[in-house]
Amino acid sequence: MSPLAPTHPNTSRRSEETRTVTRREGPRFIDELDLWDRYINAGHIAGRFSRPLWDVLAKLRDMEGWVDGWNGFAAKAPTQASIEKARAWILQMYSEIANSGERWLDPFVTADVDGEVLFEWRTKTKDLSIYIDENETTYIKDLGPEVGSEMTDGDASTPRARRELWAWFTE
Amino acid sequence: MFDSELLYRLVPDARDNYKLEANGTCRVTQSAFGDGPTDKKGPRQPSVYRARLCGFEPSAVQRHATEFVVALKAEDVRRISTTLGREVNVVPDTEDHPAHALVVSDPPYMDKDPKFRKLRKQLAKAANSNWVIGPPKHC
Repeated sequence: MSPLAPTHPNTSRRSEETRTVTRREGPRFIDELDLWDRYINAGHIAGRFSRPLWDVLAKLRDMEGWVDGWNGFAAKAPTQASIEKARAWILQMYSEIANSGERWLDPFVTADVDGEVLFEWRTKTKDLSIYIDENETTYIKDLGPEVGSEMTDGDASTPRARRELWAWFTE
Repeated sequence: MFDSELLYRLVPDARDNYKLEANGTCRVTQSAFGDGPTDKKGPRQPSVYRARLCGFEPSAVQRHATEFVVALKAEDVRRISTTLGREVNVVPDTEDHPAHALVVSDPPYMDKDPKFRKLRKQLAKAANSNWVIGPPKHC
């Protein structure tokens, strides 16, 4: 076995799941699973395989089929470029958090009205939203549950920004 | 319009306009306030209906029986001004419906203005999952 092989005890079980899902979902999903395998085998997510992130990727795949007006109003469908960029961003974020030894929390995944992908993490007192389109990756931090609470925004595209946002959200 | 005036907001039964939270509540999301972009050029102004002018009957504003409705107060909408750094207000817009009103801002949110997201997030909080028709059984 390669020294970079996955160390998680569920690795063999995951392989079985991979084969099952591959048969069910078709060739587009295989690429995603291959990407997963590369991350896991490269040690980026060693021992930290997470079923919730799997669901995030499945939701992103589902969003490729959304059409304009998906929210019952005139929201634009998420673009392919936004979805692909969001997929890379969330995998990167996951690997960075896993490698730092911190606990991963699954975001709510949806789209925004201009074709962006939206990741949202919430607690009772905090809300972190990430908006990703082909041009930019930005965040909104909402610092309280009440109406009129302070909100800040900025760039979320870099590893440093991701690290600082996660530290803020989980502190 | 008085601060105490109750407003209704239509929530189409569409994906991700609501979400089941860990505590069992069904939360209305910012997607549910995602009016536009539309072919009609101009500022983005989420629609609401004045409950008093609907006889406090939320079903009066439904376009389809499948739509849900949440309630919020005019004062909560106006309070959003403090965090956005621009005046947010509710003004009547009776061209299509006598109870119809718009959430407007000064300066206005124009096409693809990312700051419009903050307004929608705050509106979702103002509604605070105050379902008057709903919540969806399948939330």
